[in-house]
Amino acid sequence: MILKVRGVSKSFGGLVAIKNVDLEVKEKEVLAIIGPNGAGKTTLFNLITGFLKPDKGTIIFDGEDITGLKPHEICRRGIARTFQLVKPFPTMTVMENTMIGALLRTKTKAEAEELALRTLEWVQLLDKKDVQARSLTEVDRKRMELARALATRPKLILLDELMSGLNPVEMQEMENLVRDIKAKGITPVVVEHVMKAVMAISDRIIVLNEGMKIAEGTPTDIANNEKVIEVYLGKEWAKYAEVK
Amino acid sequence: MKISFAETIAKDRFLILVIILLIIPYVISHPWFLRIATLTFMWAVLALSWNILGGFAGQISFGHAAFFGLGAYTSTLLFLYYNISPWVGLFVGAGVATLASLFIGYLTFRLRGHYFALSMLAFPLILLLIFSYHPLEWYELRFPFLGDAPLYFQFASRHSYYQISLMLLAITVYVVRMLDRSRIALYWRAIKENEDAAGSLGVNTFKYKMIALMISAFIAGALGTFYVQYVLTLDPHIAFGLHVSVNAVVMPIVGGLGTIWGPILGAALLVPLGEITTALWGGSLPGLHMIIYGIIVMIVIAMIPEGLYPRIRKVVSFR
Amino acid sequence: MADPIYVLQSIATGLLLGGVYGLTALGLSIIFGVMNIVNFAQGDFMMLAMYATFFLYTLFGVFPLVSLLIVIPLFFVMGIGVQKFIINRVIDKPPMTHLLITLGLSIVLQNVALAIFKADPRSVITPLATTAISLGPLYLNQAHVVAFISALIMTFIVSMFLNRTYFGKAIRATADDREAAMLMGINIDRVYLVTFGLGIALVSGAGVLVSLYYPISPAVAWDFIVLMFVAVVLGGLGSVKGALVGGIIVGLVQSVSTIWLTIDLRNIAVFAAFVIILLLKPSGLFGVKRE
Repeated sequence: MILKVRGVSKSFGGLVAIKNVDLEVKEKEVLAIIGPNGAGKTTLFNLITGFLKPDKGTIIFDGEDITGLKPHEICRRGIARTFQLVKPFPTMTVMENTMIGALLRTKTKAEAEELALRTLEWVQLLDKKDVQARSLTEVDRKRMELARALATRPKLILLDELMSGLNPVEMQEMENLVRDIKAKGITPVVVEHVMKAVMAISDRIIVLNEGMKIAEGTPTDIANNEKVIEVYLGKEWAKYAEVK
Repeated sequence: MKISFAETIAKDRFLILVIILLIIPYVISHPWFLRIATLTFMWAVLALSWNILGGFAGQISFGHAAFFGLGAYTSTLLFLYYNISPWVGLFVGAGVATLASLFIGYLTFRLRGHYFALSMLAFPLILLLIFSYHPLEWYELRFPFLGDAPLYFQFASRHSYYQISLMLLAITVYVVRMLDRSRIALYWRAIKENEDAAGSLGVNTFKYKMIALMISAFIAGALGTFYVQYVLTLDPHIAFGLHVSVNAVVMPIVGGLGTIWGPILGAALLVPLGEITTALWGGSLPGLHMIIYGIIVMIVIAMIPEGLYPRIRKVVSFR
Repeated sequence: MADPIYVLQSIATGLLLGGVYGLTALGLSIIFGVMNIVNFAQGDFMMLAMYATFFLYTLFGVFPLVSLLIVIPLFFVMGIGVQKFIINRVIDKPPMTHLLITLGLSIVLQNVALAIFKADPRSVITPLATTAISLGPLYLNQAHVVAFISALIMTFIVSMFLNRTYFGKAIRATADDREAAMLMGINIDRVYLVTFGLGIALVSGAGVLVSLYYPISPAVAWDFIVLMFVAVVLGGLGSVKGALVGGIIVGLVQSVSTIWLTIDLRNIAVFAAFVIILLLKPSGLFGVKRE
């Protein structure tokens, strides 16, 4: 178990965003977290990565309690993330953006450059390395965000709605990238809305609704789970239940 | 391909400027020129120091006067009460300013944007009130005029002050250049462009903001001593007044936020403008200089938001 | 320990002055809430209103409360003009841009006033400032009371406007979610014009009231702008209720601190309270969190 989330809760004023959620991630498995809008998926990511502090509960990563640590400390320990609304460093180039991630693990600027170049090559963004981040297309921005996060050499990577806004071809490329990440020994956890992608890449799925976990299992289990179908109104699900 | 020493110097435009500036007083030694230039160099240093926190790290603060004033008061009080040379007081003052910045940063760095900028405003105001407290008798300090006493930072000739402030400017520019090429500068830029993203990539944003603040405060504190030794009078408004904080912000922004030439250009424009306007019309139209100042700020911000230096460079590179 | 009557007196004065601070902060808060702009020049418009009150009174004998009827509409129009020709240019630029452009405006206004009116302070001298109403064991300065009541009335009127009228609701909708408001057909440009005009009108009204008891000089903005900022940040940028409560807190802290501190140091207590509250709750006491 590379990540264990136990009894985590978070409220904002009167609004309960996450209620008593338990979660376990096995090394090198692709875990998908799904649920309707407002279910608390991004909040969960923010709690794991230190952008929010849980009101209750613990988060244990690689055997160490990381509850309440700051984002940079958590990144240091090996958890990287992308954001749902990408956060590029707008006037910096793709290369410079990626280097910021690379600098975490390297001692010199030169080493960081090398690591950044290799990472960019991996995500197929090398040809655009000197382009300013704000001039990139949406899919390239996502690729850059991914490259940046990967440059920190994480053990676990949280991908927040990677597929949103992409066309089918781009989505296929991203799916392959996620499999690639898994192949390289990094554990991906994805939050997704696009069911086709979820079904295609995940080994295990957790379903959140209104801040609580309502189901957990393999894609087939989830597709046939009544509670889940209720929550999603079912039509899409039935179709994909046959696929896997 | 090895570049010769001469070529290295020729490529360094700032160095050439310094050399020219060193030579000029031997040709033009009019006291007016020396005075305006000396003040310009000093304000340029202040602008450069603010630019480290505001331009490189992207944390706009309206409270820079706190550090300037603490430096000025520390060295002055050490001199007036304990007869310690301002050369020593300079470093003690810079140290005091840096310690204060540690305290202030710890309090304010959890805030961002508007809230941060405005909260920083509070500190020089508090200091101004404290130092105006009558029983302390610090509200109007005058220096004994020592004539020529280099060991006590007083010189008979204006030319000496000119050279010293030019040296201070040169040192500051080289320090800033060194910083600009460092790893830290990359982190500062990341923080400036998107603090959350930087944190998620392992950058300890608090630590690096603090480093920027402390360096910025150190330089401002040192400058405080220089300034006070030049004008030889000190009161809470000279030290902590809003005009200091405003100049610290306006000069880099008008000149070009985040660049090295920008703050220098900003000072070179606004200081002489101010001095000349005040000299010509100060009596008949008080405040004219500030009206022009304010209008320049508004026009530059509205039309050339990136600053004069970047705009000039863009225009020149299209020729 | 301090004489209890003296303490009560301080509290009462603090409350009265605080109500007026609340009014000064209200304009700032509304502008920020709707347009996301911090208007550094707010205090200087107040200063201009104070001069207007002074000249209306000394040259034309118009009693300050009456001059509200002249000053407020005038400054409303002025505010619309400033928004249209100055603020609008920087409305969608990064936040520091408007902070700086309004700073520039503030410098210009202050120094134009300095050039025209010169630095000597003026006062609007009416019997109000020198008479006191007695309320039990307390003596309340009549000017303070009149200002306080007027400020409350004006705040109430604005609150009604924002909550009961169509345009007021349009303004609030824009503050909540600009995109949604646009989609609903609300004319954002017009909202901005009215909002800024309203913000300036409010602070000008405050200026008229303040001139009943405070000396007028070109730099008077500095005496108030920081208190205004503190009140707004305390109450939360963007909240009407918050601006009033923030103003009252500032008034109380300022007044009550004179029990232990001398008058020239009383603002230290306000600034210290400011820093403390910013640290505990950066979005203010009622704030809608905005950056």
